[in-house]
Amino acid sequence: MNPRRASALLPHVALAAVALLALSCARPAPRALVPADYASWERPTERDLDYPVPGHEDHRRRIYLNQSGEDVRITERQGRVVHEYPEGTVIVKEVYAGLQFRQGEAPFQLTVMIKKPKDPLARGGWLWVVRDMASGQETVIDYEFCFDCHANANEPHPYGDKNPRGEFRDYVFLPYRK
Amino acid sequence: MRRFVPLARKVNFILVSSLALGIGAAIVYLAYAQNRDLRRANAENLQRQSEILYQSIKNAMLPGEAPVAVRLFADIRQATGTFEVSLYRADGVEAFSDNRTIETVNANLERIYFRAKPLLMSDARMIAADMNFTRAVQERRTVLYQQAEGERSYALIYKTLLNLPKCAGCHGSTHTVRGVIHIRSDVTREAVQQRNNLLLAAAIFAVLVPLLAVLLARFLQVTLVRPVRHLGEVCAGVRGGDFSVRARIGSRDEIGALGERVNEMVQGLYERFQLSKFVSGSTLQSIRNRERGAKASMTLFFSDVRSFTAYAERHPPEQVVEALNRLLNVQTEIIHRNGGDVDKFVGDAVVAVFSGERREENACRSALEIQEELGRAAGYDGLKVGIGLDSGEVILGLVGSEKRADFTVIGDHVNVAARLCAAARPGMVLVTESVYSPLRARVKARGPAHLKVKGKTEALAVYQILALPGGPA
Ligand code: HEC
Repeated sequence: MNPRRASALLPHVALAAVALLALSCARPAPRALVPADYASWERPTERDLDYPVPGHEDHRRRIYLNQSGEDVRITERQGRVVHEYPEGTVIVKEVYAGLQFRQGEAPFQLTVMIKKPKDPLARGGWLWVVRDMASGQETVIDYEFCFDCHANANEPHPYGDKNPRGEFRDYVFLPYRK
Repeated sequence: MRRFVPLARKVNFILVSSLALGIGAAIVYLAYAQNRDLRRANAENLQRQSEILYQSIKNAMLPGEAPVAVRLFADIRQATGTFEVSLYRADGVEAFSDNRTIETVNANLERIYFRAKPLLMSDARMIAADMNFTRAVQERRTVLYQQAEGERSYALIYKTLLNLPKCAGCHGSTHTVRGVIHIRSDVTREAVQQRNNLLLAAAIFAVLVPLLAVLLARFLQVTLVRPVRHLGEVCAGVRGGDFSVRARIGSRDEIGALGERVNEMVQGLYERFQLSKFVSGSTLQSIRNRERGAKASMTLFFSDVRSFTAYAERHPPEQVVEALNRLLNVQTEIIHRNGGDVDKFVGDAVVAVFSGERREENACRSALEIQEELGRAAGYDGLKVGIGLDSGEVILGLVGSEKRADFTVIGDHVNVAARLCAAARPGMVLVTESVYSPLRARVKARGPAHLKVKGKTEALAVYQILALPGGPA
């Protein structure tokens, strides 16, 4: 190649390289973390949760647990009961607009816990995901927020059975029982 | 035509630019990395500090000991001087500035659990308009940022305080964010250090690059530029005819080797130049023209030193060579002066050719002059030559192998001239009829005598030339 033409090409090559770099650094395309068929799963509590809680506030909630989650291991370690959900466990919580149940209403949001200890975005072994139903967008909450509050599930708290003995509940407030 | 750009300038340009780029990149990166690490360390520090505060507030809040927290903040401010901590409610009002929370808690618990306290602060602040605060509340995440106020620089953090399940009992369940911890840390010293890092990097750059550039340029000047220029001067000298110039390059590298090569070349040129003094002009001409052979009418001159072998045996070799060189030199000089070409030297013999219209006359005159010179002048150790001349058609051409070829004359007449030369006594010039007859009218000669020549049935008519009156043509 003629060197002058090569040097004229150089800026283009550099630009292309920069563009490629920028592309590769950009956020990856949103991934579908939450299975679509969750409504057919087991529910840890048959009850619709219609009282306000901090974190999910005054929205009616309904919780589902996938097959893997049913194999939760409950052992005792150094005098403390320890719950361990196997990898692959998915807990989906539907969040509805109001506290009152309305016929045919669809949730506007899912808050989801996915057991994936090796994921770099995981905290406490769980991926904390929010799915906005209108846009379908899923966001992984990799900062303290969800995790900080859910750490309270491992000590006595005011919900469900209230965990009076401070069992390690693997960050789950309403544990699954067969 | 392209402009002449001195090597030194190109080399300097490359040097300075690559140094500037290389060192510049390294220094910029170092300074950047150092400042980044400093910033990162600052941020991490702040995170950790806010975490510690968060934990202590969480535990101080539980028993409802707000005044403890307020005192803690004040103490921290006082103790460190560079560190300011405050706590805001989610609505942006500074916490503990009024009894509103206590009232809400009592209402939630449906009894007077906490007694309203005298106001703990007189200068309650509002920061709802702060964008970073709003972000911390809405996105429920820690926000870190930097701020400059006049001369001072601050690192700041907003850390959200969640309404944890254990808080919800008193504070109610309708909200998620209870408040925001705000820490302002004076990082003026670190900022100054960052700036100093940059200044230092720039200073190092400003000193190092020119220094290295000068050193490297100097090195290249000595090892490359100067020798190349010197070689140029040598070549210019040779071109001007001075063969005594020699490249003086001491270095043992490619340039040194090139210098030696040039010296060998100059030596070779010198030798060839010396040779050309003896070798005929037509030889050189034809070496240039690469003539491949031609026929021409010429007069052949053949001289050879009498009793040279005996002389050589009696004298030391240096003296022999010196005497012979003198003899050949004087003959060459006389032949050239009379328009002849020396075709070659064969030991002590000279073969020369004369061409052109007056070739016989010129050849005879050369022969007579040579004999006269050798007869008269001392310094030839009494050595004498015999000379034979013959005229006629000869073949001229490059003869030899591909590696080494000489331009020479070939033909019967060469042999005849040689035969006459052999027959001539010291100081004698013998010629054939073909040389004699064109000059018959003017030349003083003796003869003819008859000479038997190998390969010829008839004896040759031979004349001895004595004098050729009349000046040179
Ligand atoms: C301030 C406290 C708080 C925060 C913050 C919080 N949660 Fe929860 N979460 C709860 C409580 C309390 C429950 C118990 C179920 C209920 O009453 O809704 C719960 C239940 C859940 C459950 C059902 C499993 C269980 O623990 O019983 C999921 C899934 C869940 N939260 C996901 C999330 C995600 C994802 C986030 C972050 C975007 C989040 N939560 C933030 C308090 C919180």
